[in-house]
Amino acid sequence: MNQLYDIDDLIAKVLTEEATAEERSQLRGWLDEAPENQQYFDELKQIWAESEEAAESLDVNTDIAWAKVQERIHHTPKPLTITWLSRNWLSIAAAVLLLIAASLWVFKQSNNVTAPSVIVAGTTDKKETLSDGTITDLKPSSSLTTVFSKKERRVKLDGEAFFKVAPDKEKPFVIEVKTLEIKVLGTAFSVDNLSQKDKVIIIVTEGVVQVSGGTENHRLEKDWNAVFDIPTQTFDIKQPTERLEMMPSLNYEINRKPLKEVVKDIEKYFKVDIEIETALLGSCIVKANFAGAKLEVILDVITDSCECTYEKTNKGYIIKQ
Amino acid sequence: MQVIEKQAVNSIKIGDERSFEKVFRAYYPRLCAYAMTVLNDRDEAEEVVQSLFCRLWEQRDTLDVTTSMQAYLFRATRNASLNHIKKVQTREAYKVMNLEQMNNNPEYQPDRTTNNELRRRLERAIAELPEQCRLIFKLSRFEELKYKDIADQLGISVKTVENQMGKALKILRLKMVDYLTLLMIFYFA
Repeated sequence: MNQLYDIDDLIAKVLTEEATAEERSQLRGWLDEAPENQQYFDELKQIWAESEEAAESLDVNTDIAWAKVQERIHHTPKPLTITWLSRNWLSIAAAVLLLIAASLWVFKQSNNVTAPSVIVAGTTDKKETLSDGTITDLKPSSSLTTVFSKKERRVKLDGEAFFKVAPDKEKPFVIEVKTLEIKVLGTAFSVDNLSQKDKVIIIVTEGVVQVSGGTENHRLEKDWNAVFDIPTQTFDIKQPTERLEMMPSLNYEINRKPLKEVVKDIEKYFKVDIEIETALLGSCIVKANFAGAKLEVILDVITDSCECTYEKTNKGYIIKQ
Repeated sequence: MQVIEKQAVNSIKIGDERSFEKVFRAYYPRLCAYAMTVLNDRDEAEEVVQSLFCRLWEQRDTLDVTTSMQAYLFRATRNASLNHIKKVQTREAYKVMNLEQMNNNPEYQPDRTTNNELRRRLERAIAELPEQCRLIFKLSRFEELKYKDIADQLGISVKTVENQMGKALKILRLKMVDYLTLLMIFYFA
């Protein structure tokens, strides 16, 4: 018995190409001893050869699976970014994150301007500190034109960028996005996001931000948020509710995860029940970035990115097409 | 690696979706079964394998297959499955379930569409190997891992791997011997 185990081990080593030259000649010696030995070796060799493709299969529907994979590889998800900034950032001053669709900009001339400078990001993020100390992180294929005058610091964004605005009460920092203007006053900080081509969402988490678009002009205070609709040039302003204040927030970066997994994480974190209506929806890929975001905002963003909606139910939430 | 496989890898690298589809269709059911041995959940297994192929396609230009395509995919599937488990933090639950339930899980039915009788018997015989023996055999056969790598991964000695591989072949032969004899008769008839 012992002898047999040893020879099996040796044959296995030879078949898996783990055997040394010495071991191989040892096996040859054994094979020459008796014709049965050769037959035994041949049987094991045959089993080894056949077993290569003998991995079990699952009775899956490969057609459906392929359709899903095809859908995923052809459907590049919309990049989405929402960032809530932590309070520590106050020291740095205002911070604004904008994500906008590509747009053309006609440069506006104003008095006493310094020569405009243009920063263009290629295929990677580009971090740059502007002359006033404001830090920007420009996302790929985005560009930023800065025009600083004696009165204001104006920038025009085409694409997506992140700003940490240096404080200067004398010169407000103005960000132009298509037809929308965001003015950062004092030590405010805010987060803006454009998850849809025709909308800009601005959420103020500290201080004051002034927004103007179309004929409207709004002063947004802490915890207010505004949705600017580009086609109609109107704002939808929401003041904070107590409930929103009470809810925990989440720092969360999602880099191309299926909705199903994202929802699991959110459920765990916020201790809520979120149902996904169909399995297909669960495989939608989400890419987003949350820092201190609240539950309903996160749901807004992820459902937007999957082009679906969500509803509050008596148990929790349901995500549906 | 076989020439045909090398061609498939090269075609995928340059973005040939048809080659990619062929590879997907050829391996998908087996990779799902393999992911299943780790995840023990049908949907998750399918999801993991699909995501793996999506990643593979996205990163096709850096695709580097030094082993066989099969070994590459099986390894990637196991790694992706383990990562998935790490993420959902059910590793503990998995360890217990995986040991006990794989053979009894009603969801875990091998594909019945395989026509090759020999292969089907072999599939069953491999599935019936003792737990550690089966795991080592699969790592060696399907992922083409070296004994040393298997030993490192499982935290056992190379000697144990040698013993278990010998044992696996011996058991498989015993289970297959009737069928092998039949084949032999066929051969010489």
